[in-house]
Amino acid sequence: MTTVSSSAPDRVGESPVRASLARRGSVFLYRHAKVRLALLLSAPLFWLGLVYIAALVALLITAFWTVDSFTGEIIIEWNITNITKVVGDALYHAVTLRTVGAALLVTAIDIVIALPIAFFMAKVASRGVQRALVIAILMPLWASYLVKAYAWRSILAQDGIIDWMFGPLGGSSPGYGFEGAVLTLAYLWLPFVILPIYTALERVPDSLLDASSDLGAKTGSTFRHIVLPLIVPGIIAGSIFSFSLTLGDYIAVKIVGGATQMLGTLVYSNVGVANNLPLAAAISLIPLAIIFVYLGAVRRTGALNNL
Amino acid sequence: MSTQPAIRLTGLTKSFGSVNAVSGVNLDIAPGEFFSMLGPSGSGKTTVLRMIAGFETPTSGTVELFGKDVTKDAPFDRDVNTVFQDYALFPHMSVLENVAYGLRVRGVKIDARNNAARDALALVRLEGYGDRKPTQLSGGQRQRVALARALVVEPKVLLLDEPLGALDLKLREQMQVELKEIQRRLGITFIFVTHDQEEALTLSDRIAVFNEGGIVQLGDAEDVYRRPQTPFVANFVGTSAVFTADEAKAVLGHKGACSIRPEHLEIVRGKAPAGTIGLPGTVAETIFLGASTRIIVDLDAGKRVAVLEQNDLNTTDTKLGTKVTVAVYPRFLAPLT
Repeated sequence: MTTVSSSAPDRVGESPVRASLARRGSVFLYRHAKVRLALLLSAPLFWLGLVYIAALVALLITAFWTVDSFTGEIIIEWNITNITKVVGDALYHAVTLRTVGAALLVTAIDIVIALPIAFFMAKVASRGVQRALVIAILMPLWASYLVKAYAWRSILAQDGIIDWMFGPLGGSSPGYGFEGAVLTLAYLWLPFVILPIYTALERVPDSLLDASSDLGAKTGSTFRHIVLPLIVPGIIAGSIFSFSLTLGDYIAVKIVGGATQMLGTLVYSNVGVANNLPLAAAISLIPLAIIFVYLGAVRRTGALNNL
Repeated sequence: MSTQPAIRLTGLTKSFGSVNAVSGVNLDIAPGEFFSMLGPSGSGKTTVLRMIAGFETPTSGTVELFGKDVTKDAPFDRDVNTVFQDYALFPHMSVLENVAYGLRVRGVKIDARNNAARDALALVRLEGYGDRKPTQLSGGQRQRVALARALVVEPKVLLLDEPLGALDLKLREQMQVELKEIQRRLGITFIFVTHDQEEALTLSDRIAVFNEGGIVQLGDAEDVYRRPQTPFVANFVGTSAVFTADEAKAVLGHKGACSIRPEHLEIVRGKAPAGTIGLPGTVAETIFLGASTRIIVDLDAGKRVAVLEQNDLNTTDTKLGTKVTVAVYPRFLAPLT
């Protein structure tokens, strides 16, 4: 016993003497947790504050300014003309409803397509097939957004692939318009919906599915009672992507939407053609408000607690 | 009264790719029997269980349940239920909802199924835990919930896949007693998969010892322990000194391969008692185990054996390097095939 205890103090006594600058710095940081935290968070907080929150605040402020209709100069003067126009005008009501409708449709289509694919990937496919499918789903994300939108333009075109495939069956392409835009957007955001659902399914142990069927539940019941409740957070995470991305999109709508007006295209034309930045800012507050309402509703379901 | 088996497995084989997990298992399990499948991991015992439950489809062979061929039936069409190794409790449901689940999917009304679930919880001594979530329970309690959930639908056969593996020793011993009691009270067939030989010996009416995808020995606990038929069984169920035919002839003067349990060997001073085989040797190691001491002896004839000696008043002096004689009655030599 005595031999063990006598050697320990020697080593403790010698280490501070040899401490280098780096070592002393490490010791200081180790002792001062708050300094450590500040160093770690300063860069991301700076980024978040300046680029993200400041931009949103600037948007909000701009919405309360107006434009001189003759010179096109921004008049920096507080008034709510833009807000009342956006809230009161029937045009904006119609466009808002159309945009929310498109967002809901795109989300519904994506969830219906994503569920079986994600289930196959997570629970049925072998390791190799699983990996191949993940790559196949990620691959479109590596291609340019514009390329994909223009690809759909040619798919939807008169005498395009859809006409060629469904023509003999009496069908035809929906052409460039609301339906075309919804189809294209559903395609564009599909990977963002599949991946969170796939991840959620991966986390459901196989033994739960075995247990459910062991206790007498047929496949449908197992899906309804066990799988679905456990992957709701994943479905909601995916729906946030497809819903919010559709609300704000204007490029795909411009390319395949024909004359369809959405909130994004209104913002776009006010920034560009009409040169009315304050009105554009006021319009862009609409999808922002809708997203806040949507996230609030999602939060109330408790689904975000499990993300 | 017919003697129709609860479970009959005929030529049951399962291959994963080129690997044979289970090859040609034939087995009859009687109604009301507490039957254990004992074997090391990878011996195929769990795969056999999963084929009985219906989670795996056999490559060939059949599974019969009370005379009915269920080989192709889905798990939800079979009158067997499983207690899973990881318990597989549904995390989004309360304990009561978990236990009532089997009745819910059978369309039983909520009051009736909740009452049945409460009774089942009482059976496993978990009254009043119904409102908790599985995450708020200890391992032992989760295990009981899994048991109640499987029993509430009144299966004819209950399959238990290493159900006590994750519990600590005291809890495991307590659960063993309870399992045995529940099985006796309900009178249903239990098929119990374990790698723990002591557990299998304690609980079972009969034991099938599995190795490399097949049954290597089948019998009651005493049979398997006292008369191991292969060197594998001799050392997987308890430990034994195994003698090949040549070694048996040279060392013991005995004809044919055999095994000897350490507790059947005795250390004597001087000459071996009449009727025993005396084997002179040197003490190589002594391991104190409390109630007994394990003494490793290098026999002069060139074989190392372990002797288990009770620590009573007559304990002989067994210092390292002591010259001793190890004595054994010939009737304790268990012949190997």
